[in-house]
Amino acid sequence: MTAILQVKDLKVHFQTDDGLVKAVDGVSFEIEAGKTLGIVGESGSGKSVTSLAIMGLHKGSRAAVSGEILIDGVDVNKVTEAEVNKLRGKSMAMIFQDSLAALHPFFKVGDQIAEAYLVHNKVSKKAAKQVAVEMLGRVGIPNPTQRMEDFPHQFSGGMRQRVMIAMSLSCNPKLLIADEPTTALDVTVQAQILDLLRDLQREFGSSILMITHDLGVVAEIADDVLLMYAGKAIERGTVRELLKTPEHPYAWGLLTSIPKLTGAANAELLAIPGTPPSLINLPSGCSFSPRCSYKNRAKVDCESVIPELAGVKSNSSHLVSCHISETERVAIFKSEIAPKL
Amino acid sequence: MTPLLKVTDLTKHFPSKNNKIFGKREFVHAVDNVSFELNVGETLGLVGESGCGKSTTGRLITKLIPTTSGSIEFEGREISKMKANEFKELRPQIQMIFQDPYASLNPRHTVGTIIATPLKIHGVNPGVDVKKQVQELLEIVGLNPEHYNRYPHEFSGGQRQRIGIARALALKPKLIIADEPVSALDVSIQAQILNLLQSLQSDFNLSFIFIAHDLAVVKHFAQRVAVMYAGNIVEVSDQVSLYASPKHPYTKALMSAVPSADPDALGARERIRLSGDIPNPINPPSGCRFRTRCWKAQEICETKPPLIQVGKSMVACHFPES
Amino acid sequence: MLAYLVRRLIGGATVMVLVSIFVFGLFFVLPADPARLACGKSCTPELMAEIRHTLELDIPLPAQYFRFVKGIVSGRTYLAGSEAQLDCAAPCLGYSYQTDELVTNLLKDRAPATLSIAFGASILWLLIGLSSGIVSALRRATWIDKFSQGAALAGASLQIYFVGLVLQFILVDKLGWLSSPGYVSPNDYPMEWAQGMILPWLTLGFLLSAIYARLTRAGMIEVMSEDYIRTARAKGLPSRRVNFKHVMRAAITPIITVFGLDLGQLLGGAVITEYVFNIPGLGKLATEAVSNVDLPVIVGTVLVAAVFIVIANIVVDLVYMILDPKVRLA
Repeated sequence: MTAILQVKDLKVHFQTDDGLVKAVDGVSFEIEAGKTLGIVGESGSGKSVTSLAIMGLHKGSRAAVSGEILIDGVDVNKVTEAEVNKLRGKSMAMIFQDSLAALHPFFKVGDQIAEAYLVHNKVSKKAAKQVAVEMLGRVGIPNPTQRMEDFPHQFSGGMRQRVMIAMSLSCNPKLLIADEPTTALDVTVQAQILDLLRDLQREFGSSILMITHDLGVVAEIADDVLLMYAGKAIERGTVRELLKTPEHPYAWGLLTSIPKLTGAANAELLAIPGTPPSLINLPSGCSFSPRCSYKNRAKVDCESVIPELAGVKSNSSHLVSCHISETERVAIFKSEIAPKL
Repeated sequence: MTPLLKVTDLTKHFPSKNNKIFGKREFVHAVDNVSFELNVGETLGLVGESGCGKSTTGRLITKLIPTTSGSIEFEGREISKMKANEFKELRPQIQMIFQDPYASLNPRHTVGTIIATPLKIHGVNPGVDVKKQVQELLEIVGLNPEHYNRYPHEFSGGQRQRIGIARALALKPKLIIADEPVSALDVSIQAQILNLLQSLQSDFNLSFIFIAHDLAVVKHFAQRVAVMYAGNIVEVSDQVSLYASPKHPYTKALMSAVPSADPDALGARERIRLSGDIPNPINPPSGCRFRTRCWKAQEICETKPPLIQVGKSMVACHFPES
Repeated sequence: MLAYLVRRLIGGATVMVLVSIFVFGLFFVLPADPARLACGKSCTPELMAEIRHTLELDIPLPAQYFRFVKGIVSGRTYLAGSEAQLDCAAPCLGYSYQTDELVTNLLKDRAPATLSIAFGASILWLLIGLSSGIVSALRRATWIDKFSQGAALAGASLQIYFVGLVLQFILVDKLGWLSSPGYVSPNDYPMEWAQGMILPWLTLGFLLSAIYARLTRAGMIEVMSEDYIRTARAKGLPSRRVNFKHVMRAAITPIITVFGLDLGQLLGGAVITEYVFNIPGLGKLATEAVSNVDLPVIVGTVLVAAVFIVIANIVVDLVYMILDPKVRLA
């Protein structure tokens, strides 16, 4: 299967008054056609910065972006803004978390969708408007012909997110980047939107890059998962590998600290101690080591040597960056983590 | 034993912003005939999606906004109609923790000032050194007492929420209304704060009303749970019964919508997908407000369903699940 | 939307009534005899008595106000029945004893000059201000930006009389490129009209463009950091379209608001400009009336200025409503 997106050693650094912020520091991954990759991380992990870099939206800002981002045979980092523009909306499109802030408040929704279509398709305005009506209908908005003339603030949160999805899919892009699209929505609306994305993915054949902090969302929609922490990818694998047999202590911490609907009542949550590190003064060695409860099990000094992202023996596509030996990790998981899940 | 808090038919209608000068006055039916009890040392979870009225209910109980009708009894005393100076002596006993740790702390006050202010307003222990009291509180919530003079922006989100909790504890309350206290925090920090709240509850015999939209978080912390929809309570139950066998169709749908982090669980669970949106609070459906989206709705649902006992739960439904 | 318009019109009318009462009352609140004030500098007791009679200053105050308002609505007749009868057609704003003119006629004479200055200068300051602001915002922190901001600062700190006189000295006296500024009717002598107006336009235009340059720059910079502009870029829109359609559309609203208010104020009389360049407009009329203590004319000019400002406010509110769908559809 060919990859429609290939990211190699992506780095995004911001020079600020307080120092160099290494928001993303050497991340690599691929997405194949028709598949969904979930990038999971908390605030400061670099997941959103990564998605913006793929769209080339850091151009013209203070960010220093390096590495390769290959989509449709073009390296986004090497070409000009004008050339990336040809890809935006057409080869790749993006939907954002805050749908009210992300849609222009003064233009009608139908016009905004038609505009997205007209950028890449030479048709009449009328034809573009017709496309807009169809897209609105496809994403499940009732009375699309009337609602086309409405403004973003006249829609509810869930409906507005559907509008954004309609707008982004109007040119049938190969890759849809969704940056926390359901975080701000109610859980029943979130379920509707995730269903919609899955249906549209089947219909259009697009790949999805889903950025989220919610492991439940990842389980529902992703095929593969990339776990990010402090700007680096620390574990990568299929969704089953990451959620059923993860090997990074941070992943263990996340899985045991989230309250579960099906878990034991009033059990104590195993919180990960400490807080995520500052991206200006990253800890030496493994960025997670200050918070890791298992670093004494590693034979290498976690606090001075940065671990490499390496494949596990049974499956070279499941990658982990951790100094603890694989046998040791599997043992810890089996004895200490799995019983708590 | 008298419950610590007893709320009966609590109602709040806000005048609509769209009211014209002439013409019918419309109201937003934020909370309608909500009733529940809370016992000492207990946590009641108040769960629902946006617009269900849970935050408004919290504000009504702390008397941040006046009620339209209904009664709120705290330790047997009716507080809903009390004037401000009457209520002042009771206020220390009912405190609130807010959702947004970035917005709920005055950025121009030091942490010490923020926590000391309630003590000063209520003239608590005037002889004892305020600073010492504040530092004790900082320690209780897991912060460094030496950071007395720092400003909110110097702390992370989780730490700011701890400051908010310290402020709520300052007056040694009996009841704390926690309005979505962990929703704005990172996942790895949520657990820390939830653990803190749990230990504080047992250390100080606190009672909580825990308002949240996240069913899993509430399950972890509450002994009893009330589910709200469009201003009404649709189900109240103890935590075990609610999650094992939800009786109200909305509760069932809500639970089925929560994504599970277990890929194996996906196939096993019954998936109920609700269509449409939450009803317009200015003109909510008559009778059961969920009937416009309920797969069980019949004609009788146009009349208000009474709160009946089914198993261990109280349910407001004409056709509760068994 | 209609309800909003009606509310604003009622509000505007109320303001006008209040202003008219206030201004009219000015006549009588001052610790001087109104007849004396209308009489002017060279006054005699006989003249005063005559004025008192002609201008009907001897009847009770509310009745005077009523006749004043009636005069605005449907005209008024002074000294009816006598041979000195004076018909004052609606809108009658009074009679100036000193100049022996109906105030309304005076205003009508002087208005075109002020309107010429106002409209010409406003076009100029919008053009300069907007383009300077846009260029600054798009080329932030470059020398173009710093230069424009510096020029804007200069414009905001310099005074009309200073800049005007300096420009006049350079362009008229020294270089002889322009003839002396003045007003002629554009209907009769269009070329001369434009020539005579250039100095006032340049002066006023340059100085007022400063605010607009800063507003535009700040507004655009703020809008450019909004999420919906990021979405526009993410759609693949060319940057020209993003800047001039998406950004401007959102940034223009405060600019239009300020513009409306500035224009409204200017229409009541560009007092300093007219004085400096000796243009016979409403502003000059007002200053003359004040120095001559010709109260009926003062009342007239103040009322007219108030009307322009009230109308400008209502128009600006309406435009705001048209531009912002959230306000329009509320």
